[in-house]
Amino acid sequence: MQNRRSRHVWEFVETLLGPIIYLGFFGLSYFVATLGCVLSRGNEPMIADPQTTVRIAVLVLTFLALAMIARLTKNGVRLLSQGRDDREDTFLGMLTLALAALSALAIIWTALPVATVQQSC
Amino acid sequence: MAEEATSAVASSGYPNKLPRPPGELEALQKAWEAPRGWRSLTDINNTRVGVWYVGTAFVFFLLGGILALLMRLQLAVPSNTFLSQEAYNQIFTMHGSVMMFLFAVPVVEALGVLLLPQMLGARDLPFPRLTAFAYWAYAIGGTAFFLSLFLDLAPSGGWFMYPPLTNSEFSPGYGADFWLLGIGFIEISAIAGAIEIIIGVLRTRAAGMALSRMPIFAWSMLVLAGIVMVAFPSLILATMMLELERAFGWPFFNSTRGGDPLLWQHLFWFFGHPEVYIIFLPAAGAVSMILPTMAGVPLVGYSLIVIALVATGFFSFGLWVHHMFATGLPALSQSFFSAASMAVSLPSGIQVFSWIATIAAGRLKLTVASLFILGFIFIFVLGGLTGVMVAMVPFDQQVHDTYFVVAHFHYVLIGGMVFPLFASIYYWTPVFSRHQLSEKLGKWAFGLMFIGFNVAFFPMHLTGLMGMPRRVYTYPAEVGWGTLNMISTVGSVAVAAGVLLVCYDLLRRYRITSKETIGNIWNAGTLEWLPNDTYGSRSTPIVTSRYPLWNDPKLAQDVEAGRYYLPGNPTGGRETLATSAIDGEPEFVMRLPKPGWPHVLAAVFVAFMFLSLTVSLIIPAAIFAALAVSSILVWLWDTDPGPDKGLVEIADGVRLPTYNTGPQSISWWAMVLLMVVGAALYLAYVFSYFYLWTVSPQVWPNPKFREISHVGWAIAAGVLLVASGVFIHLARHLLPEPGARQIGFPAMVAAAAALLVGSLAVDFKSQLDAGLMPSRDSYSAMTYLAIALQGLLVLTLVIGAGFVIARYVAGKLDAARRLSMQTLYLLWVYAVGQGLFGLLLTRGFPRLVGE
Repeated sequence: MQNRRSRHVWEFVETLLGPIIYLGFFGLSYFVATLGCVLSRGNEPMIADPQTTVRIAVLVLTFLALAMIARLTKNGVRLLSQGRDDREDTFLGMLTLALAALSALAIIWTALPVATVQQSC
Repeated sequence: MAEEATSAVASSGYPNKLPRPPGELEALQKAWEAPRGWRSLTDINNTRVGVWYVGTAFVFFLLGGILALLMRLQLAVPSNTFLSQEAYNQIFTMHGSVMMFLFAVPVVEALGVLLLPQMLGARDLPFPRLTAFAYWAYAIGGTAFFLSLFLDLAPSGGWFMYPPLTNSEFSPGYGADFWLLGIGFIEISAIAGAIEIIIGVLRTRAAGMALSRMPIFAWSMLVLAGIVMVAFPSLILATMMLELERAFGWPFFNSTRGGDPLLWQHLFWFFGHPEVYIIFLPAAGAVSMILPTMAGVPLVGYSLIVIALVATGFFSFGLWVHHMFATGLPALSQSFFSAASMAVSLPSGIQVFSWIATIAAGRLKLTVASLFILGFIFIFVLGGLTGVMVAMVPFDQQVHDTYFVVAHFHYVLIGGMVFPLFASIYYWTPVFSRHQLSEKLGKWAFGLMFIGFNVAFFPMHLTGLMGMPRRVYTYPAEVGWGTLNMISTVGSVAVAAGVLLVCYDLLRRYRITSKETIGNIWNAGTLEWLPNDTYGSRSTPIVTSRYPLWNDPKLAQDVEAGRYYLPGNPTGGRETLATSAIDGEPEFVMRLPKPGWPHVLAAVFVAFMFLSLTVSLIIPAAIFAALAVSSILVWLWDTDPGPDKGLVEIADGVRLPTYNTGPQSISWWAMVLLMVVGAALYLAYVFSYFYLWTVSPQVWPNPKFREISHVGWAIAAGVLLVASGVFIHLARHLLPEPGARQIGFPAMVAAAAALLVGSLAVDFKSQLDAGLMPSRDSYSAMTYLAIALQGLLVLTLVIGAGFVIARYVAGKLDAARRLSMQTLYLLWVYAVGQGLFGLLLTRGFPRLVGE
């Protein structure tokens, strides 16, 4: 009984991981974009071409975030397939998958401007 | 325990047999008896405090509405002289501040306080005195803040208080200080409420009410409380910084000394945008409760709505910059926020479609509550559409600071929150009142409010597109905005008439009672419609579906007869069932406090402390602070009752403990949540630190050119911090067994406190010796702010150390009864972590970037 309770607590935390990954990705992308601009200022800029640097950094972040979401999705699918007898497993598994899907969409959507916006700073 | 519970249900059908022992109900009633006369002010029961809370928020809504009417009268005709420019500035500032801080946020928390325990099958919230403290802090602070308007002390810099307009040069006097300290105080009350709500929702649900069966309103309150805990600290930090700048010249927002006014906007909107969802999500939760009842079918897409609520809660933190599109931020940064602002419309859309599907699946009864919900869907969707418009950077730059934006956010806030609130008033009144509100008057009120609202606010889209800026007190006739403004004013009068009708009906028909309510007149399916008294329902049901009253039509009768869990009060006092966070399985019987004065006095003294600080009376402020701390310590003295009651029977053959420590105890949860709040505040500080460095790297010291405190001092401070952590850890293990003494314990706690103070003193003194003065530049101010934030923690821990030593001396702290030490230890570990990080940041980063 205690094991099931603890397992459910971790599954609940796992449901929140999708949006947390999105927020982490979002915050880091914003940070990278800002830092890119700051370091390209002045007479001896540390970054000569912030546009390319930021693009590469955000691309890497996007792949990392999507890879983590994919891993989470795998867990969610496992939870759904294993937890047919357990109502909470099913519920939390579905929550995990749907939130992961929404987060993946939001990550791709947020990353798109890197490809379309011509001027970073 | 839960296995025993399940077997009890399986063998007899009900956990308890009838008839119940004589005197059981009377003992329960006596334990939950409400104090009378003057002592009624000490009441902590959620039904009474909840009604006060909602009532006070509603009064502020009326006051904020009167201010809105004054503004509309002023703007009705061109070149009007009804209000002076300064009076108009004060009124629009107070209107926004009152509606957002004194009405919208408090009223949704108040609804939670009022409804959640009944909805979850609990007798009360887990920290009823904290709820009452939050209420009194809000009521006193809010009243003092509003009264500033009549003393010509009201702020006039807008509800967002942007510097440099609000710095001491451009806003002299006490007006801005009233806002900064008043709102800071009210924020603390909101955070206290949020902690209470999270623990209430996760730990006091009825047996069997797993997360998948939890009412949507509880889900929405859970998400709301989570947002409050992360978003509000950012504003608390911002108000601290602006007040420090105004009072002592620490230049956080002063660009001549390395500060940046835009930092305020970042911090303010990091709070301000999630605030929109803080207001909207509980209202959406209420709609998801009312619609199924009115349509007579379960909510369509329960899981989808949960997903939407959680996703909205998280996504809301990626939107703040869309309030700053016109400030000249880099194009790519703006695009990130523009994309995120559009992404958030997805989960909102999911909710709207679920509601429409619920209406389509059932047969909607056209009651007043239903009408307000239909009005809400119409208005909110329009507000959402204009929201997507202003999320686009080029469009936003065109309409920024025009009446288009005023129209947009009133569609979102009034549509998304006020209409569902009125639906809630009509829907839930029978739970707390002897009479139902008039459906006839209610329909008139709805008609006036719905038509009036659209007449008032739709034309503002047009005046905005025609270029009318916000916050102007008048305009010349030649610009051609007169007719549309007159139409808006007429509409606002119609809204006011609708609200007045509801007030009249409330005064005429609303009679608060904990007994003899009219009951479940709508045939609703959730637990708040069980027969209620001050103790909630007689016994706590076992929940097997999302709509238990629909599932078992005899449930109300069985619960009232005492057939379910905890039909009496086995410890002899007030108590409620504590259940596991996910599965809702009974874990222990949580003992609840009785009414008393300390929390009321604490709120009064804290309010006076803030008021004294506002008018720069430092000594009275220190006296009130000491009185407030004393009241809080008296209040906390009996919060750890210990395991003396052992196991008690909550049903035939089912016995549960009455005390728990560690992660199962609710005080552990409260401290962990408080640490999350602290971490959010510190994260806002770290953001500010790096932000100011990116804006003004030239004021960050370069060790080659400017003296910087020697690294040895930082190492010394760090060593002292770690040593204090080690000492407090050892002290925990020195707690004696009950009845025994261990002199090493108080000595170890005292030594840990001394080391903590020593660490702070070394840090402070070494910065001072290096010639760093906080008013010199933004780097210096940020360095001293880190010390001040750590100092607040250290002060709290030193008081806490004294408190646990006193409890040890009084024989109230030992290895078995150790909640106070457990919570102190958690905070101590957090303080050591924060302190070390602070040292690394303020001492290490300048060396890293300066070399």
